[in-house]
Amino acid sequence: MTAFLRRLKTLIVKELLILLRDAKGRSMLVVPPLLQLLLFAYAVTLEVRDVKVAILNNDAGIHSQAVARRIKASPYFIVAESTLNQSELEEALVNQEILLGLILPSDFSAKAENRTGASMQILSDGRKSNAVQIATAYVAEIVSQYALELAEADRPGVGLGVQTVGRHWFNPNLTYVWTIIPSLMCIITLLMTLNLSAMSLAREKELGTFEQLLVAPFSPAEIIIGKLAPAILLASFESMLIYGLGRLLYGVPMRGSFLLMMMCVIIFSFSIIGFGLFVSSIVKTQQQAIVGAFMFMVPSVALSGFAAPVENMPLWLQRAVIMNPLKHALIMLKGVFLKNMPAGEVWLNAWPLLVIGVLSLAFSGWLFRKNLG
Amino acid sequence: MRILRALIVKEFIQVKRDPATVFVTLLLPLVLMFIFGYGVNLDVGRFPIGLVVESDEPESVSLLTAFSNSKSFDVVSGRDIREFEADLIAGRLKGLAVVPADFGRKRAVGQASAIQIVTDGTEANTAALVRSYIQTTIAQWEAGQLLEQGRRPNSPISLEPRAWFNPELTSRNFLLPGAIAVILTITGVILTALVIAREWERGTMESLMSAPASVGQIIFAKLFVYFSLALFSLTLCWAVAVHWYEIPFRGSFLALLALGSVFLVAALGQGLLISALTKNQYHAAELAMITGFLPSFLLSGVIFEISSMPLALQTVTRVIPARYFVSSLQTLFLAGNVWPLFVSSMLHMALIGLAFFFVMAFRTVKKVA
Repeated sequence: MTAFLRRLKTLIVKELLILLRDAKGRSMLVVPPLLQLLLFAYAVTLEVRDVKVAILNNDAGIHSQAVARRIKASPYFIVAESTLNQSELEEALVNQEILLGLILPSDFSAKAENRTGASMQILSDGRKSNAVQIATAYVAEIVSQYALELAEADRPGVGLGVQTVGRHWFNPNLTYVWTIIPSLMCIITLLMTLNLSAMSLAREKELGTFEQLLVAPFSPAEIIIGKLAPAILLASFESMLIYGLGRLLYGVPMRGSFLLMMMCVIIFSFSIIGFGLFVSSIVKTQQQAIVGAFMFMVPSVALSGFAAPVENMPLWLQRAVIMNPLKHALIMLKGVFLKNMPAGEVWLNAWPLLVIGVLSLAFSGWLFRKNLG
Repeated sequence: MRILRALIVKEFIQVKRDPATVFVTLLLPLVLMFIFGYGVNLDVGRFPIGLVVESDEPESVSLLTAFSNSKSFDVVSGRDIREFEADLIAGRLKGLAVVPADFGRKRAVGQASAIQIVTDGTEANTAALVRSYIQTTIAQWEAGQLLEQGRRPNSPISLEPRAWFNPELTSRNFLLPGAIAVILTITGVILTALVIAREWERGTMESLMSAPASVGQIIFAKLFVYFSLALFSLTLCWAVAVHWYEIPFRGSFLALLALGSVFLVAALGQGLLISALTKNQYHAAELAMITGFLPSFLLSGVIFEISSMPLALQTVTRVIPARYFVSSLQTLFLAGNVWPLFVSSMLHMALIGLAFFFVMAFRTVKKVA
């Protein structure tokens, strides 16, 4: 047993030396996650703000002016100051200078006054359909509020319909950064450990040290653990870095336990490294390894619920993404951070990761043995 | 010229022997188009929600039926909000609506009654969507009720929304053209960075340099090959978008090639610079992902609206070539040839590309001196 541990230590020290021996290597471990945290933390939002709008008011009456004034006052919109005519407005829309063009016809105020159905046209840029939907909803809210006030003036009490009171649990103000920091922790872990493990054996093969490793007095299990352990160490280090920055810089709350978070990171990185080593043991060159890693990474990120809700996928795809480790990791880590998710729930998402990790490690171990023979 | 031709032929042979390159240029675009086409969807989905109905008043039951019939939800009903707390924590439910016990009674006597909507704030995007769908469903139910009673929901002002270029506001129509920019970033930046970093790592760059060809010729030959491969990927993506997903293509194919070519100058320049800076495949891959792939996905406007980002970040997006390519592609597909937009995009992309090559040349000159 002690000999086993000693041999293992040698392997781990060797792997860490490769990572840490030069300044470039060391900076590659710290700078990229920092950069991602600073750059991307505020990018990942489907929130729509500062929508550029032009208003074409063909009517001088009080109602059209009141509506235009309210739209200008809304914090969601930036209304172009210069008044445009119809064709200028259309041109601005085509050139993506504005997202919405609001057109109030000349009879707007008269019809609104007589309650004969005034209407406002909203031209929008369908090239950005998501933003358009949200921005149109903002306009609709403002206009229907105004319409409600008109109706109230006629018949007091008519506005008393069903009211809704909305509350977002766990994140009452929908502070996007709170959900993004745990997500970035998962994505950065994925990126770094996958690259590292997919490249590790491939690099040895390319440099010719793979044969040396095979003839050295190590068993396949030792070699694999020797590759696994440093990568898990790295993932833990990166996650603690992100945790610290997220807490200090972005004020993300931590409602669960730090230990549970680290457990999640370790289990998640275990599954990713398992897959990475599997890729590494089937490819011949580093380039193939990166392509393999990429073919895994891009679908994982795109189909994880990070960018678009899983519920929006076709049903067969929703079933298939059960095999996506990142999907489980996102649920676990966001849960631990923001919901104080109980360990039992965490386990429900952790065991598929363990299965994926063990299976792929077993497979790479088998391939390894084949190489030995 | 003869030397250049020989070099290009050599590179093509090298590519043909390398399955990874073929994979990246042929298969990766197809896989990504598939993922973006089916997996990344911002249109209305079907969300699992819990509906808490605190009493069996007819009004509450009718509202429950309205929710059960809605295409936007899979509804589980209950009597008490506490039944659903664990499901919300586990993420099995995306939201709850609580209809209070006195809901019907209050409505009957003309009092305001409030329905509580609870959403899972840890998925901020989904939370906002679910809340607005629940509100819409309630409003539709209410309008239906008024109509049944013979009262018209009389709003004195109506809206006529008209979305140009994409009247149905299908998210796929703008996501897929944008995805092409992400795919070309992968072929352009990552493949180039890797291939040239490998030459440095193996020391074959030095042996190439001792050949009777100038550094410029060698690099040009390499870039030319990857340029043509990437243009091939572009055509493939275009074909899939138009023929498989039936996305309208209102611009001209020539404009697509022109925009793609200018974008590739910037992408290849970036890849080349990364390879020269790292001279190591592992670091090149990492750097290419972080400065190439991720920004093209997150900071280019393909999914996340640039105008919603903080001002400092908006400034950062200006140096990301994919940003200009994404908006040009969306226009090219959905709106047609809008040359003022294209020309300005091409100028920006060309400028960024030139900057990459300039830095590269500057470094090389310094090395030689």
